[in-house]
Amino acid sequence: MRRSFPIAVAVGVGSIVLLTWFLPFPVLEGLRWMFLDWSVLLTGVALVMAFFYFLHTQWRLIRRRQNGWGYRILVVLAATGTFAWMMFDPTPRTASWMMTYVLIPGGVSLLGLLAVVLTYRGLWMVFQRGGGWGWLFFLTVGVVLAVDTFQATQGPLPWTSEVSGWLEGVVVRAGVRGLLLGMALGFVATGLRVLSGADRPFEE
Amino acid sequence: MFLAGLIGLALVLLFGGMMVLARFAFHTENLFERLRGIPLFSGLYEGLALTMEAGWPIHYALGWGSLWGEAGGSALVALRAFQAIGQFAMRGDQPPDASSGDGLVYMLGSNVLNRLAREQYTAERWLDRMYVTGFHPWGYAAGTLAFPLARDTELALLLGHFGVEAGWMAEMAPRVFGATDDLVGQAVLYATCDEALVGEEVLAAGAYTRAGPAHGASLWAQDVMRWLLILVLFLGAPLYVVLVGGGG
Repeated sequence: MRRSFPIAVAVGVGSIVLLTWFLPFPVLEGLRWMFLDWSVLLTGVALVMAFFYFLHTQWRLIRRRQNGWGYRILVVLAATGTFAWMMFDPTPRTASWMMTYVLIPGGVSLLGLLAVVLTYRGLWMVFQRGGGWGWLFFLTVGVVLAVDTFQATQGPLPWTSEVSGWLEGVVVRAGVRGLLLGMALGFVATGLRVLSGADRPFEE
Repeated sequence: MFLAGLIGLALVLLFGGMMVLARFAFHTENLFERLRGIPLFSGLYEGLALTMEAGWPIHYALGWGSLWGEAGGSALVALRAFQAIGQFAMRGDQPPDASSGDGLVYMLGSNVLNRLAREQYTAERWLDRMYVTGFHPWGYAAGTLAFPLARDTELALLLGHFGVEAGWMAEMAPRVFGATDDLVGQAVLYATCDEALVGEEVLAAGAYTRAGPAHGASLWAQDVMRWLLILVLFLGAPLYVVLVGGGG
């Protein structure tokens, strides 16, 4: 009973929510929104609990004096400071300030550095895995991207815009659609495994 | 609208029916033996064995994707593969670290670890090895990158939902294997990791880690559905041109 009850709840609720996507009956719709509301609430609770687990694990690592414990002190101070600040001033202004002056500059600077890392790793990939065709592929992509960037800032070139347009509109789009269709099938399979009770991540 | 819903439901039921058929028509071992080789998985087990033999720690990153949303599929697969890989990794001297950037995934990951620890009677070594290292993608990447500082991680497996920040995380160990459901993340991982998965391969991780017969059966059903889809696309395109009219 202790094992089968959570499975029965997950399978039952999951099946009802799935059915409501395909059969828009008002009774089922109401049930769906009720279940979704509950899950949002539970997700919120999980987030708060995870925040305290986060602080707890950081504190434990600091006490062990593992390498990098100084960094962890900074993380704990920043996290508790932000949490306290948001509790006392829970206005969008505070969140917006954090986004504008902390998260976005940090993210953008990391992205800038990532561009350098990716260029280096791209060349490494060509050397390690590419062979002759790898060089050709890398050069082709590089030239197309350079031409595209040039066009975006300086205006379209006589014939290259048609070539890059064709590459993006036909080759790239076909490839992306193929990948997305395959992934959609994978998501359906994953969902069906949970609905059939074959996957039980919630089971202890 | 109602007809489209019925067709969708019929397709899902067909998919489910084929999973059940494969589960009972084929022997479990046959399902797994039919899988084509993916370098990441053969390299992963070889890397895990070598790392464990040398006594170096392993890091398993479950990504920052939540179960609530599009990333839920990869998070679920990552959790299931975590169980299979964890069972293998428990034979080593060093217990692996695991990290997540989502509260629910963290709790479920802890659950997996606790269950494994109880089954293998190694609770004291495996306790508190699951961490929440940050909630924002960049925060999660930065928090996870602090682990090699502490434990000289030799091998890292990034399996779950990662975006462009995966490029940083691929620097966390000498040997890194990566898989994500995000297309941009896949491109970044392909360039930065030793081995990476492309497309829906990430969602097949359960079958390749032999997480259970249902994973082999669902992958077989998925392949059949893919061929059906290809057939529909090839027949549908000329039919559309003939019946509706093609061109710009």
